[in-house]
Amino acid sequence: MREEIHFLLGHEARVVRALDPTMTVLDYLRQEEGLVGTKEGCNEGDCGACTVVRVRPREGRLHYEALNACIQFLPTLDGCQLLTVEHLAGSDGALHPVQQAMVDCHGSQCGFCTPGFVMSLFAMSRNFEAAPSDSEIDDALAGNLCRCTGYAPIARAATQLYETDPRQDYFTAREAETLEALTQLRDHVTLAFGQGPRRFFAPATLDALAELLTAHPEATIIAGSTDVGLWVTKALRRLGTVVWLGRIDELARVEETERAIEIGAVASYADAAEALSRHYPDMGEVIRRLGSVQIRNLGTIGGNIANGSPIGDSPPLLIAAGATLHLRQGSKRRSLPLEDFFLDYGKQDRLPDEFVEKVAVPLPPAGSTFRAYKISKRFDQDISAVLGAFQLRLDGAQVTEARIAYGGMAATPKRAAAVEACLTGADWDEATVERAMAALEQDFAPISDWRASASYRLQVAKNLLRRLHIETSDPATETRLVGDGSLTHA
Amino acid sequence: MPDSRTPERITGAVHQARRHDSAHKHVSGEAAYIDDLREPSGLLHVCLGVGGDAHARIVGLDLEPVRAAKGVVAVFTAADIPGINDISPTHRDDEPVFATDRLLFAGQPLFAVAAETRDQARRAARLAVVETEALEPVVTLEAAKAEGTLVTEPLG
Repeated sequence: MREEIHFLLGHEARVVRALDPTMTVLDYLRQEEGLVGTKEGCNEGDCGACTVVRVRPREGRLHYEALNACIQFLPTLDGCQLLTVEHLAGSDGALHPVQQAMVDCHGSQCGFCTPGFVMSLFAMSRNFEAAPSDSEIDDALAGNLCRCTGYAPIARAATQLYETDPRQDYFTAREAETLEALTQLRDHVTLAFGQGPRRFFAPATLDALAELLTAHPEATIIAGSTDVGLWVTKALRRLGTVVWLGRIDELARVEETERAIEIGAVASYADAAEALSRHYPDMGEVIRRLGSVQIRNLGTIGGNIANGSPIGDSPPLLIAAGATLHLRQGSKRRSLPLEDFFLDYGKQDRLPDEFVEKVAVPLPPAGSTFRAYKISKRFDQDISAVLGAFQLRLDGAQVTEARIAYGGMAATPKRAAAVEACLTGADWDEATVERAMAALEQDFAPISDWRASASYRLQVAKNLLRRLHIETSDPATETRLVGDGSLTHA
Repeated sequence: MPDSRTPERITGAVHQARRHDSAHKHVSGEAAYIDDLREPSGLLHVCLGVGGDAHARIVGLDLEPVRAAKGVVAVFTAADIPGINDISPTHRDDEPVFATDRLLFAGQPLFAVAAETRDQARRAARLAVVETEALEPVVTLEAAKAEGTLVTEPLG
C-alpha cells in the first residue's frame, strides 16, 4: 500500500502524507498552501466560489473539469493536476485570456465570486473549441453565484474570450510535459492515506476494492462525495474508514452494447450524459439541470443510486427505462431490477461489504416514447420536489406498455403501479389520462416539506401525466419553459 | 440638431467605461479579503450558535456544554453586550445581535463562541442545549396583518 498522495499543484509536484484524510481540497489550498484566491462561500457545493479545475489524462489529451473544492477530500487529488486561480496568469504576470476578458467586460464588482467564475470560464474554454452559445454559457456558469455584478457582463466575457483562441496559452504549450508527468504518477497500488481508525483507502482495481470492503465492511464508500462531502463540512462528522472508488478505471466506463448503456459506478453525470441523452433526450435534459457543471463532474449515477435518497434524480429516470443494477460482494456478483434495490427510506438492498458495480440502461425499445419532468423551485441547480419519468409503448392508439417512476413522492424512488395498470391496454386519450390521474392516489401519499406540500406534490404528479399526454398527442403545444424546445418532439 | 449648450459626449468619468481598479486582482485571486489575511499567532476563531426554529419562544439556553468543549476560550450572549443588543443599520433597535426571548427566523444567532481553532469553534457552537416552544411562523402578509406583526414600528 502507498501511504502518500502524489499530484501536481499547477506544474509543481506535491507529495502529501500526514494530513486529515477528509480535509477538503479547499482547506488544503487555503490553510496548507496559503493559496487563498480560492474562496469559501457556502461550503456545500452550491455557490461556486471555490471552483478549481482538475486535469486528468483522457484519450491521450488533457481533460479539464471544473469542480467544487469545498466538498472534495484531499486524497482524491491523487494522480491529478489541480489548477487554481493563482495558476492562470503567465509567469510574467500577463493575465490569461479568460482573466483579461473578465477585466475588459467589467465582470467583477466585490470580486469574491470572481475566482470561481474565472475557473469555470477557464474550464469552459478547454471544453468548447468554438464559442459556446448563450445557453451553453448559462449552463457553464449555472454553478457560480454572483450577488453584485450581475451575470450579463460575465456572460459577455464568456463570449469575448473567444475573439482570440483562448487555448493558445501556457497550458497548451506544456500539454505534452503535463501528460507525461501525470502518466508517471499513475500506479496500481492501493492508496491508504491517514493513520489509525481514520483511514482513506483508494484501491486502483476492482479486485482490490472487493478485498478491502471484505476487510472493512463498516467503510463509507464514496465516489464523487457530493453528498458525503456535506456530512463533513455541514454535519461536522468525523468519518472513520473511507473507501474511494475514483481510481478504478473499470468503474469509470460508460459502454454502449447493442442492447444497453452500461454505466460504471464511478462514471460522473458528465461522463454518462452524452450516451444517455443520445438515446433518451429527456434524460439529458434532466441531467443538464441537475446540480451544476462542477457537481456533474464529480457526482456519479452509481452514487446517486447507492445513496438511496428518495429525491435523487437518476433513479426514477433509470427505473422508467427498465435499468438493471449490478452489485458485487467479494467475488460474488448479482443483478436486480433497479426499483427492487430501494427497500425503504434510507434502506437499500445492499450488504455492508457489497458495492454497486454498474447500472445497465436498456436502449429504448422500438416504438417507445420516453419523457422525464423535473419539478423544482429553480430551473437550475435545485433539488427536485417531484420528478416523473415515463416510458410508453403505443400500438396505434392503445398503450401496450407503461413504465412510470416518480421521485419525491414516497420514501424511495418508486414505480406507479396503479397508474401503469390503468394505462396498459387502454386507449391513450383524455379519459384514460383522467383515470390514471385518479389512480395515482393509490400509488402515492407524499409528505410535506420545505420543497413542496403533500397536496402540491400529488397535484403536480398527476398533472405530469396530462403533460405527457399533451406532448405525445399534440406536439405543437408548448409545454416547456426552459431548455431545448425540440425535446417535446423527440 | 444638438443643443449647443450640451456637448454630445460628457467628458470626464461620466459615461465612460472604466475598469474596476481592483479587477486584475479579482481575476487573479490576489485581492485579499479578511479571511485571506495571514493570521497573527494566537488569533481566536469565533463561530455563531444559531437557533433552528422559524418562530419560537426561547425557554432555556444551556451553554455549559459549549464552555466545556475543547479549545473554547469564551462564550458570549446578549447579557455580555455592554451597550444595546442591536445591530440594525437603521438605529431603530429592531435587530438584536443575539436573540433573547424569541427566535424570529431559522438560523438566528443566539450566542457566539471563541475557540483556539476554527474547527473547535464550529464544533462547540453545535453543543448548546436550546429549549424552545414553537410558535406559528408568520410567512405571509395576510398573517402579519391579522396578527399585527410588524418588522419594525411605522416610521410615520
